[in-house]
Amino acid sequence: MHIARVIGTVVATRKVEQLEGSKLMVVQALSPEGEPTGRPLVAIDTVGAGPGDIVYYVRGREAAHTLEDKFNPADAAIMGIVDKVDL
Amino acid sequence: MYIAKVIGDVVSSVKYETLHSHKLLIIQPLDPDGTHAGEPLMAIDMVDAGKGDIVLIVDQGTAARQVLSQEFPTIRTLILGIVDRIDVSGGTAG
Amino acid sequence: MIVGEVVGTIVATRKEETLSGLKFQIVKIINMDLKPTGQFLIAIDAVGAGDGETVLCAQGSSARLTEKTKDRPVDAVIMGIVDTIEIQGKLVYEKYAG
Repeated sequence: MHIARVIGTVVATRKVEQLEGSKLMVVQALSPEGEPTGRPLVAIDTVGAGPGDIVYYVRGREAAHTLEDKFNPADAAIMGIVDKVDL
Repeated sequence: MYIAKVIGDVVSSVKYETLHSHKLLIIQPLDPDGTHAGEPLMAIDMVDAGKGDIVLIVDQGTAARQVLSQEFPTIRTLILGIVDRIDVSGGTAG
Repeated sequence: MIVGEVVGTIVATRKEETLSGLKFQIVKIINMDLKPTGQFLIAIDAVGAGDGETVLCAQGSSARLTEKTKDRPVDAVIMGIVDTIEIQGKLVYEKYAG
């Protein structure tokens, strides 16, 4: 899993059926120190995160398993909201 | 599998249900000679590791499915062991 | 998922059997500020996207988890058509903005 900041949202009315009702968030991955690393990507939200929140997300097939219908093409999912990082 | 160093921990009270009761640590992947191999990431701790430990990482959903006994794992990066010693040909690396 | 713009189509008459009937789109990958990254990918269209549309793509084994791509040897799928993108409170993309 990777730490990221939610920087925005994406709306897509026409999408594969299995993703109906999913919220799409734009996340910017961060280093543990909070510096942006790499390009932003779009992740489904499973925890009610909002713009500005520091979150962590999982990439790959495991992301799909957060939705009730496991047969879906989501490849990134926000898994939690960070309260605190200790280094 | 690869080795990594535990460099921090994450406190998170809002998390996806399958993550409840799991400890979240930040790991820095390492080459066997101890140099950094890629960016730090988060892993689920299965062995009570702590900051500074050198650990064994598996980063694959299929492995997580076995370890966590979940048919549809939502986790892929797990700490599965604490490394005592690494031997590479030509000498001890750490 | 990543965002891209459909810039073309690929036709391949001779191809692996299980790929027949699929629409291959050329997708220019863009950053969230809509600037091109310089990278492209070939993705199977699962939603009926057209030329010039901004789309949402999934990659890796996840790309095989749509009705259209199930059990087929593909590694990228167009899974949605983007209406809007909002970054830090600003609308950076709107499909019907003219």
